[in-house]
Formats: sequence, structure tokens, C-alpha cells
Amino acid sequence: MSYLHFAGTLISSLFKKPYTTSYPFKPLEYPERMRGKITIEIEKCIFCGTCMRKCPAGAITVDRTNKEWKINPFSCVQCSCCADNCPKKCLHMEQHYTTPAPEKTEEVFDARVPGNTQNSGNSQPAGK
Amino acid sequence: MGKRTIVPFGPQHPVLPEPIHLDLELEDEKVIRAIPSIGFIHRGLEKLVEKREYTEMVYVAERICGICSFGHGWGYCKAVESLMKVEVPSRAKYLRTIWHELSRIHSHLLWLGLQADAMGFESLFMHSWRIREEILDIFDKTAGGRVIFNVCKVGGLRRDIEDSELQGIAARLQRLKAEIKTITDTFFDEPTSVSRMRGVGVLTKQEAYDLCCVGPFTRASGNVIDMRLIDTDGCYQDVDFQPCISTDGDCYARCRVRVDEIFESIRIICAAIEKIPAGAIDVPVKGNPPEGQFFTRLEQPRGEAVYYVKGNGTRNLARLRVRTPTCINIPGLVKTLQGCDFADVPILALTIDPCISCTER
Amino acid sequence: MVSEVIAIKPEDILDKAEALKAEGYRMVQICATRVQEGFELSYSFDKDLAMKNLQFTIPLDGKVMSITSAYWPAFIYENEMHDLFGIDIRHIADGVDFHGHFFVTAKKTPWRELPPQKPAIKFTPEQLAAIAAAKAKKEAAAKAAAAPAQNPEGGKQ
Repeated sequence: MSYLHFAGTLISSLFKKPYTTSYPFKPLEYPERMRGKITIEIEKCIFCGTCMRKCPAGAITVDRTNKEWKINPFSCVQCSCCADNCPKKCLHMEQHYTTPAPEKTEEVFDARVPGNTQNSGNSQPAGK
Repeated sequence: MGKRTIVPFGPQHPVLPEPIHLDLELEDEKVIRAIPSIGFIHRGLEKLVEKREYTEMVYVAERICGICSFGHGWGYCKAVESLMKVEVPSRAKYLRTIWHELSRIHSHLLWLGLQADAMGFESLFMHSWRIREEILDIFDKTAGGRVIFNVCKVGGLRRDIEDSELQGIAARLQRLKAEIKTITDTFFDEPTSVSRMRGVGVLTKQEAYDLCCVGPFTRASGNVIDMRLIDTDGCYQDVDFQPCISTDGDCYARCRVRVDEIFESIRIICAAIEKIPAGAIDVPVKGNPPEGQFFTRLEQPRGEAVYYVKGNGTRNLARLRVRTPTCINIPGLVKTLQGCDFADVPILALTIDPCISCTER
Repeated sequence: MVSEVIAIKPEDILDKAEALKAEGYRMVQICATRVQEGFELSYSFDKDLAMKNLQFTIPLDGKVMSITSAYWPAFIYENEMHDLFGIDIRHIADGVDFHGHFFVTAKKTPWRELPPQKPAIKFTPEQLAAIAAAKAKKEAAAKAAAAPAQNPEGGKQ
């Protein structure tokens, strides 16, 4: 028994660099398969509504008549059920997280607008 | 006759990972009686079977608890697969075992950190969780999430791990063994740590069996109750699993059992990685769960968990019941608290490894 | 996993529990399910890793005898069933009968009502006609695709 059993670890940790990353000043390195956020290539979407039916959290709304695809990223649980079942493979699970925000807003993608400048899904990922 | 007071413990307490309320009847410094009360984190998840189909219910089952998340997903899938008579491929069984044992290591490291925090040894707490971060990095790389995995589905798994990645995991775990040993030796040799844990909350073998306790709580008293001995849905039969037992029955023995389980889990994972077969990771599942019911059991890090599913021929299950180990360990906690010192209450509350969000669902 | 389900009568539960306790069984869990007639209760016991389940059904206002005299830890499940389902359990042991204050929820007995039955999907006459027309069109297209393949073989229609 020794009172200084842990002393070796404690003293050596004084001289090592911190184990944590000083985020957000340094960028985070995300692993390749990380599930962060769903994005859509709206040009390929056929508005079949499969993603809306499969979503367990009810985060996706598909409007066929108005050609609008909406997702609430704060309801999304990042299960990638929608991405796996999409028949046109236009949904992708990106690595970076949803940017924090003071209130829960939906992201709207509208396929009728030429050039898609009105689409709101172009927010900057946090830390970059 | 000493002075009698009633002191509330919880729901907010620095040592508790989740809220439980205990009314402690004290006479001077000794606890005479403890009255538990739960319901602070009740989300009614079992009632969601009415709204979510059986394929979507996996996501709800995984989110019952953040620490034992993979176990709940596997237990639910196991129960539904047995009800629907679906046989999962061999590779999926091995991968599920590997993920579950990694889950056990991270849960025990979390508990070690909380135990150190309860004793006031903050730097040991931080170092235990630093090692736990290495395990969470493995989860991130393989499953895509640190805490909630979303890899289990009815019929198998949604993701595979390549063999090269598996070899990397085995090598990393072998390197971690030396670091884990430094941390755990401190628990067992440091005089302050030993005096806080030895002789506290003793339960004899018969008492632990009569109180129907499960998991490391009862294995530290000598009862060999471990569901991995009869498990056929993982690969425990192929890796020569041995349960970790102690006979002293106090907090020190429970700490020893959990630490032994960490090293046993590392051995199981390395053995499984050597023997894992190639092949498919899922089978297609068609149709609805038939009318009928099924009980299945799984060894979670905290003990035996029971999963009961009842089908009625539709896409929604009629009932899902998850009986988690902490639920049945609470009477054991109430019993050990009778007659203990007031200062030992945080150590005893932690010694059952409480996971109240599992208990209340 | 070895596990058997045995149907018993509600009055016999305490006798059966005491018999199992004498044989050395450990109590595993008690589960309540809301069914059409009332509640279906399942009591699970285990010895040497083999599970035995006793099941019975009681009406909505039925009474069940507590088994805390044989298995003291059963108070956890009996209080939980009382608080969530509103099942009347008699003679829970002194000191562990919390009279509805064990599982504290905002709404009392939240799981007592039957789950809502999903209505069968009903189509309007126009929708039925549209589905029939689409089906006929698909069959005609399949026949037309098969017909040219048969023509070179002697002009079958």
C-alpha cells in the first residue's frame, strides 16, 4: 500500500499536452462514418415520400404538389433510415453536426426555384 | 434515544448519474430506513409501441438509456427475432457480441469514475473517463455515434466492421490494458480508497439471493448468476467465457468484480475477433410479428435484463416490457442502507450501479 | 433460452409463489399487459438459469394478492403496477406499501386505458375506381408485351 501510488500518473500528466481538443478554435476531426446531419440533393428528389414514412422521429415533411422537402434537424435522431431507403439515393448523412441555434427551425428545400438560391440548407457547419 | 431526522437524498445529487429520490430516516448519524421514490425521468417509452411499428421501435428501445444503449437494442431485436423465428447470421452474432462487450467496458469505466468522484478523488475520476474516451472513439469509428449506435435491426445489423478495422481494435485494447491497470490498482491499493470501500454494505450470499439481486451486485457475494453462461444469440459459447465472482460481498468486492469484468471483456473481444467468420450481416425479414409472446434475457453491464414482447399479428407490437437490472437491485439498496452511516450513503447508492432511466423507461 | 409459460388461476398466485420459494427459485419480474378483458399478469421465476413464467388474466376491477410475504423484493413491481396501471394489489408488506407515491407521474395511472385501435384504411369510390383502372392498365401492358413474343410462333392471339 502506498499513498503515492497514483503520483506517477498525476505528475506525468502535468507535463503532457491536454487530451482534449481546443474546439472551436481548432477544427474537429470527424471519423469517416460519423452520423451528423442529413443533406439532400434536391434536383434528384422525386418527392415519393418514403423518407417521411420511414422516419421514426417524424422530422421530414414532403410536399409533392409544391415540390418542397423539409427537415427539422433538431428532431432528427441521425438514424439514417431515410438515406438507406431513398429510391434515388439523393439523401446523404454528412459528418458535421447541425449548427447550434437559439431556436428550433426547419430547413426547407424547394425544387421549383431555379438555381435553388432560396434553399436554407447551406448553413456553415460548426467549428469550420 | 438519539435525535431522529428525515433527510432527502436526490433527485439532484452530485454523485447520482440519474435522479432517484431516497427519504433517509436518520437517528444521529445512522440510517434507520430508506424510502425510495422514482418517476422523475419516466418517458412512457413502452407505451410507444402503440404508435411505432416494430421495425421503428428499435430506435426507441436504444434510447431507453445512454449507458446500456446497445444492450437494449440487441435485447429488443433478439426478442422480436425469436418471436418471428428469424435466424441471424453468424457474423452478426459475433459483431453484436463485440459491440456489447465494448459497451460493458465503457459502462464499467464510467462507474469507476463515478465511484472515485463519490470518494472525492476527482483526478482518478478524470483519468478513468479519459480512458473511456478511447472506447467511445472506437464506437464513433465503427457505429457512427459515441453513445447511441443505431446499428441493430430486426434481422441482423445495419453496418459491418472490416477485418482490418477489427485487428486495429484488438491492438488498441491490448495497449489500453496497461493504462487501465494503473487506474484500477489505485482503487485497490490506495489506503483512503480501501477504507471507504472495505466492509461497507456487506451482503451475504443467501441475503443477495433472497433479495433477488442480479449482476455484479450479487456476483460479488458469491452467486453465479450470469446470463452469458446460457446465451445462444451471441458468441459466448465459442470464446470460453468465465464469470467473475468474489465472496466478500462488500463494496470493495463489487469494485473488484467490475474491474475483473473489464479485463474479461477485453479477452472476449480479442478472442471473438480471431474467430469471427465472414459472411452476411443480416437476413431480410418480411411480414408482421405473429400472435404470441416471448421472454428473452441478456446480461447487461448492470445485470440480467428481461425483454418480453407480445405480438398480435399487426405491424405494432401489443406489449414490450423491459425489466432492467437496476429495477430489481433497488430492494437490495434499501436493505444495505438500513444501519449504515450517513457518510456511506453515496458509496452505497453507487455500488448497485444505478441506471434509473432504464428503471423508469 | 429455456423458458416455459404456465397458465394459473389468479387465486393461486401466493400458493404457487411460496412453493417456488421453497424449491429455491429467484423472482425475476412481474409484468402487466392491458388486454381486452382487463389485465394479463406474468410472474417470472428463475432457478439455475432456467425460467418459469406464471400467467393469468384478471378483470379491470379484479384484486390480486401480493407476494411480498414470500418474495420481499416484489414490492418494486407491485407498486409500479399499482401506480401505472391502477391494479388493486392487496396486502403488500408493511413499510414497502407506498400507496401510490412510489412512481410519481403527472397523470395518475397513465397506462390503464386500452391502446387506441388503428382504423382500417377506407377508400372512397373514386379511389377504388382509380386503383381498378390502374390495375387493368398494368395487366393490358403486360399482355401486349407478351403478345409480340408469341406472334412468330404461329399467330396466337
